[in-house]
Amino acid sequence: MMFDDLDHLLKIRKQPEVPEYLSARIVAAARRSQAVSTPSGIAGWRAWPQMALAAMRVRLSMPQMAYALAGLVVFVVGVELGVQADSVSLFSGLSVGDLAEFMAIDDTFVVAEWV
Amino acid sequence: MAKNADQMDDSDESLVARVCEGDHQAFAQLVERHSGLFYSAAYRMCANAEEAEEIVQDAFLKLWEKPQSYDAGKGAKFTTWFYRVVTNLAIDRARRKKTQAGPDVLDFMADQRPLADEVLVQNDREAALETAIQSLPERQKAALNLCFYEGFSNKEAAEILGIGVKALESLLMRAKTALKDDPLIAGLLEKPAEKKTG
Repeated sequence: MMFDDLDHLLKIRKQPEVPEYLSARIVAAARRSQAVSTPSGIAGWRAWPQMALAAMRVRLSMPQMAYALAGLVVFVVGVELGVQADSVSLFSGLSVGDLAEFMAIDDTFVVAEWV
Repeated sequence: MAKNADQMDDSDESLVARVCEGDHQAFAQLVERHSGLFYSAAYRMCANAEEAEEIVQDAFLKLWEKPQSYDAGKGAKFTTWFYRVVTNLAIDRARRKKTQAGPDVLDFMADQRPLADEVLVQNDREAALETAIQSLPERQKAALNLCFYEGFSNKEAAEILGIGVKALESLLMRAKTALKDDPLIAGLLEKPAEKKTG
C-alpha cells in the first residue's frame, strides 16, 4: 500500500507501549533519593554511615568496595603499628608508659600485648 | 473546611504545590497520572524503551528534588512545562550519545541502516517510518513529535522548545522535507506522476 501524502504516512507510526511497572519504579526511586539526601529520614548517627554506604553503592561495584575497605583497614593497622614503634597508641594518644599506668599494669605486659 | 477543599483539589498545579512541601503522596499521584504520557514522548525521541524509562525517571526525580523549578505563576500548564523538561533531557542525552560515539561509529551506524528495498521487502513500513524519523536532527524530531503525535498547537510546541512560532514552523518544514527526501519514506509515498495516472 502506498501513501498519498506524508501526513497520512505519519499516522501509521506505532504507539509506544508503556511498561506497567514504570510509575512504581519512579516513585521508589524518589523514595530512595529522599532517604539518601535527607539524613533526618534515618534516626540519629546511623544516618551518616548509611548515606556514605548508599553513595558508595552508586559509585562503586562490590569488588571495588571490598578493595577500598581492605585498603582502609591496611592503612589504619599500618599507621597504628607504625605509631606503636614510637610507643604511642594512635587511638588513645597515650604512650606505653602512660597506658600501663592508666591500666595499672606493667609496661612490659602492654608492649607484649601490642607488638 | 478550607483545608478539606484544598485536599480535594487534585489539579496538577496543586499537586506540585504539595510536592513543594515534601508530600510524597502528591508526587506519586502526579507520576501515576502522567508517567505514561511522558514515557511515550521520551520513547518517540529515542526509540529505546530503557532510555525512555531513564529519561522519564530523571525528569520526575528533578521535579521531586526541585519542585520549585515549576512556577505556576508564570502561567504555563504543568504538562507543558514538564514536556519541556522531558524533551530537553532527551535532546541532551542524544547529543551526548552522538559526541561519545564519534564520527567513525556514526558512519558505521549509517552504513548499517537497512536499505529502502530491504525494508519494503520485509513490508515493515512502521520500522521504515521510525528509522527515518529517528534519523532527523533532534530539534526537528522534537518539533514533529510535539505537533504530530502529542497534539500540541504550533504555539504550544514553540513554547515547549523555547523558540518562536516561525522557528518552529521552519523546523517542521525542514523535518518534512528531510522525510520526503529519505529513500525509506520515498519508497512508501506515491510519486506525483502515479497520483495523476492512478
